[in-house]
Amino acid sequence: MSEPQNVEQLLFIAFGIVAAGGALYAVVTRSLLRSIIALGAFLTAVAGEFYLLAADFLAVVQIFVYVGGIVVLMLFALMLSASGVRHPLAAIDRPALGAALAYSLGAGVLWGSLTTELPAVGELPADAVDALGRALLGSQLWSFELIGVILLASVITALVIVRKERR
Amino acid sequence: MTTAAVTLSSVLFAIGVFGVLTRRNAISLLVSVEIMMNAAIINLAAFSRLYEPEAMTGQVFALVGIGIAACEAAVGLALVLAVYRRFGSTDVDSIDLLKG
Repeated sequence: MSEPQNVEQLLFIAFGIVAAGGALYAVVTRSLLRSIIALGAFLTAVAGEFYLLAADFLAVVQIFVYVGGIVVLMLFALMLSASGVRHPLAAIDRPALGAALAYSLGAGVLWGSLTTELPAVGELPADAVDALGRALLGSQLWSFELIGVILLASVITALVIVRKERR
Repeated sequence: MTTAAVTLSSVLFAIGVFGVLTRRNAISLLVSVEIMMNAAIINLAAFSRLYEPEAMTGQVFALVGIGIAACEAAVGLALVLAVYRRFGSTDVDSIDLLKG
């Protein structure tokens, strides 16, 4: 077996362990808040699996729709229904440690983005808006439709939530 | 790779079923259902990658699945909130208005 394929398999297994662990914690823990956060970790790990399966667009959609949409929606439902056990929201309650973690993460991101070899800048199309429209209704039609679905769902939910209670 | 993907998918599906069976809170049930949906979508992506990398059918189906999951979560959580207003709880065992 070649070297990159080996790494890919190892990563697949590692993401799988994270996904299974997150899912198990989500269904086992008593705290609803922790359950939803664990679901977020699980969904992110599944996005990693999608990326390893050469489904890049799927991985991005997974993070946008699931982690950015559904998990946040669940957190709002939890807050509005107040049915969970109360826990402090901060994962790290020592500010110095939190700051050190956050800044070292930021430094890592900066270092990574500065040292990455980028391809040469491509030629702009003559009419950028025209090209975008053609891409949206042509090769990227699915992402376009998906955005429509997400918007419709969120509009319906918002209407239901703000609707006045009928007596 | 097939073995790994199918194993992971089945393990996750089992965890989701376990959650649906053991949890009482409606939001926990939704969390468990999302885990089961993702288990299925992993299989779709894996089989698309391994056996039909050109046609992309599996990925398109996976996208449809994610879209359906988004709608399901929106409607499900709206239901949860409606139930909470009516019963003051999201515990599915306390919703027994139709019980004879």
